[in-house]
Amino acid sequence: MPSAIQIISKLRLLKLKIPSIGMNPHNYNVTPSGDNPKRPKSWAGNFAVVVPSVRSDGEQKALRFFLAKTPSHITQVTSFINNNPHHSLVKCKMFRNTLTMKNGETIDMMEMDFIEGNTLDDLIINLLSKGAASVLIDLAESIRSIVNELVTAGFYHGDLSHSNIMVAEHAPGGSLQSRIRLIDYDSVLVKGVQAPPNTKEVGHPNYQHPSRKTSRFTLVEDVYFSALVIYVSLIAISVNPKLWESYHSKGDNLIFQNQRGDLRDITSPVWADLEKIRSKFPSETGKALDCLKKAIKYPTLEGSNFLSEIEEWFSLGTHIDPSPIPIPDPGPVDPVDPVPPHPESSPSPQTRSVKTKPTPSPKPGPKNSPTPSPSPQKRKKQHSSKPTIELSSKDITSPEAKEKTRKSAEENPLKSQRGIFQKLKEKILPSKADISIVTEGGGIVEEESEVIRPKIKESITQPDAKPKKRKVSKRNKKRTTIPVPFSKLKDKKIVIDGTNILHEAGQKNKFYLQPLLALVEQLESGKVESINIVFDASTPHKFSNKEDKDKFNELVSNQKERYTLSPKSTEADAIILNIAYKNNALIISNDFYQDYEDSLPEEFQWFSKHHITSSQAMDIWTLNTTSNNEFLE
Amino acid sequence: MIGELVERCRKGDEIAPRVRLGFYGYAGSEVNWAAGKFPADADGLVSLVDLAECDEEVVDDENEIMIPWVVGENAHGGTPMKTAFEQVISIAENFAQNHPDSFPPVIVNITDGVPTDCNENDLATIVSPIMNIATTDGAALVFNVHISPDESTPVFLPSPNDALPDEYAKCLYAASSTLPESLATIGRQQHGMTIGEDARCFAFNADSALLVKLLSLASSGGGGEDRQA
Repeated sequence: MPSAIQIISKLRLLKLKIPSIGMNPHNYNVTPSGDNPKRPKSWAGNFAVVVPSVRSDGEQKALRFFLAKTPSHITQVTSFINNNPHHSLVKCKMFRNTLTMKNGETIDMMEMDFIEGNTLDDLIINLLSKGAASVLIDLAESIRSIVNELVTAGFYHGDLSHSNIMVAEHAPGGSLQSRIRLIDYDSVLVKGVQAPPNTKEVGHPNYQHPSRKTSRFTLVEDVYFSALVIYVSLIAISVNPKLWESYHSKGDNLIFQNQRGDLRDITSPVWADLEKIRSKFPSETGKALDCLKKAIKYPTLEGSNFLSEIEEWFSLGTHIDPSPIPIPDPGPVDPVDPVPPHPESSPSPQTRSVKTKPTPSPKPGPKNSPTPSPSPQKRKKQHSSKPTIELSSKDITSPEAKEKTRKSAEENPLKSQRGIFQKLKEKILPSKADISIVTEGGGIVEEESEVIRPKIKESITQPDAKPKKRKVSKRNKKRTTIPVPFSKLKDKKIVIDGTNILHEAGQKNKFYLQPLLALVEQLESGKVESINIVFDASTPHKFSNKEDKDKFNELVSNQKERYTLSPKSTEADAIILNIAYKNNALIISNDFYQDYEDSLPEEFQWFSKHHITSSQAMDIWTLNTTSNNEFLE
Repeated sequence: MIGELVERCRKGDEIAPRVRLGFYGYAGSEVNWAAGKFPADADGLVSLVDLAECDEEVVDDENEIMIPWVVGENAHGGTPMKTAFEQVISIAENFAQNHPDSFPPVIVNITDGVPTDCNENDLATIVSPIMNIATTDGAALVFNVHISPDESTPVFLPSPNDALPDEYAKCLYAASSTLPESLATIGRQQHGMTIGEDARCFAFNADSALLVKLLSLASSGGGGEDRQA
């Protein structure tokens, strides 16, 4: 495992220049630190070092180097973002083995769009210095909407904090919400991840419920708890900016701090001050404060009433209709659809670059707030004027509709929503039930119709309306994965991304041969027609011991028909794609070869419909694929 | 270790003031502040923010690492371990009182010799008050690292039934904290270490590589809160 100082030292030895490596056509000039032009400007945490850079085509990119083994699910996260673009998510690409350390260890790099702007805490400082504390309410609401949209789409950030929320300086549309970016995806969990990611990230301590533990991974409760901490902080600071002076420690928190016990009980000084201003929280935002207070008292969030409580107010606006949503089958879907150049134009659940002004309407609720600023309730409706799905504006803007909205929100299915979140959770982390969709005869049940989609606002604005048939674009269709029994591969040709498999089964980038041989054995017992395994040129140097290395070299030289070592400076990936395409073979790899979409379009096309992913536990391999794969038919 | 901590706390052009360190060296019969250029504050510690200013570096060619040169070589004469521990106890107590919610203080005793101001059998008793210092995050940790220039078989994070080479090793073992499970997990998962059950924060006959490994483990707790070494 590399250390941060190793990576920084390596970049210094490279004189802040990262050459073009492998299939990455670009090189990078890393931005120097303001204090010392010889060292890079850098940000580090426990899991990665990030440096800003200028790519050879002039684009600014942030480069992330992982300190531990690259998180096993990171490719799924990047694919999710590429397939489900949302303006708040930053496009990213993985490049393997970009830095090579003195001991031969190689470091993967994630290239991300560079965001010119402020982190949340810096923005607060700016706003307060300009006396613009009221903007914080808009900011809080924007973050709330984004978090709700992402949760609904199946993206659990897992580490929301002042430093992982940025506000870009320039953005199309210009609204505050359209400028918000969430960064750092190490503890993200996305829909479709089959095995629990091996992440030990538990998020920034000043944003977590005490029950969050390294022994489990991100839950929807964790995401909402952190979002609530941020929301309440922003509203509270806008009401009383002095809280910032009293409770903020630079670079460390907003106003709540784990060390002071602020998130363990509600007796700390910040809570006393919050109590004093509770009545000044605009409109209904005080409910968020109450909800946070309650949440802190729960010994654990999982299984508590927290979800139903947060649904009562905080997450309102992204409720999903509990009834199944019929989705017309748009035909086969490429699991790695090209990323649209402008996420803003995509049909993702985020199309709020143009905001309608809230229509002044008599508030039917008992709390007729005198505050002229838009109340969350209004904003909520205002948001619904630009929902994901087709919904005529008259449905929303008429006072009657608003009346209906409130009524439905009051009378309606808040209790039943709990079940929806439960369902959503199950979607993100497939339970055993999900895995059992493989039928006895080895047939596989199409799972697409079960994809949960945001039924934003419809249930609220049109309580009586029947579920609409909605157009679901190809791109909007989510990728779901399903297990592949080995028997299904009978008489098929198989190409294995050998280095990827060794990497998957290895420890700390030290390869062991046995798991690969176990996979071969499992495939052979499934009576596949042929197996071709392709390795990167550097593979022999990465074995953990001499015995495995020797055995590997022996296999490569004696069984050429099966084991192929790529020549030096040739990417194994391209060879794999080529062989599979030419031989009509299935490909086993956990890589998504996104980089070849343009350079090898036909091969890539073939790959995307014949791709199998793999995971290994105790030398037993489990294969998965996306549901639209042709070979399943 | 210092360089790594600095890099981990770097946020753009700033250093997050998350860690404070103390450096005390054996010199004759005394125990002195060992980070010459960087004076200790009233608590007997120095902030990582100050250490990041260090412009003297050594390049470890073998590992391609540029290491800030903070602690000068000044060790000579005896190894007054009793004095050292007693001095550190008061610093750690003071720290824990002032930072009750912080990661607990971590004390790393690095030595190549035997104590010269006490009986080695008494070390466990001398150290025991440290084990009673605690924050809400747990008890203070004592790491003992015995370094040896020769090629004696090293002992690294031994468990209760592991063999120890001699009586002195047993005394130092007894004077070392049990490695908390959280650190053991980090050691296994992030550093690829083999760590048994109830392992002690202890290494004997360690070479420089093992020393670095143990230091990186000792400094990987807390997720960026205050620490002391």
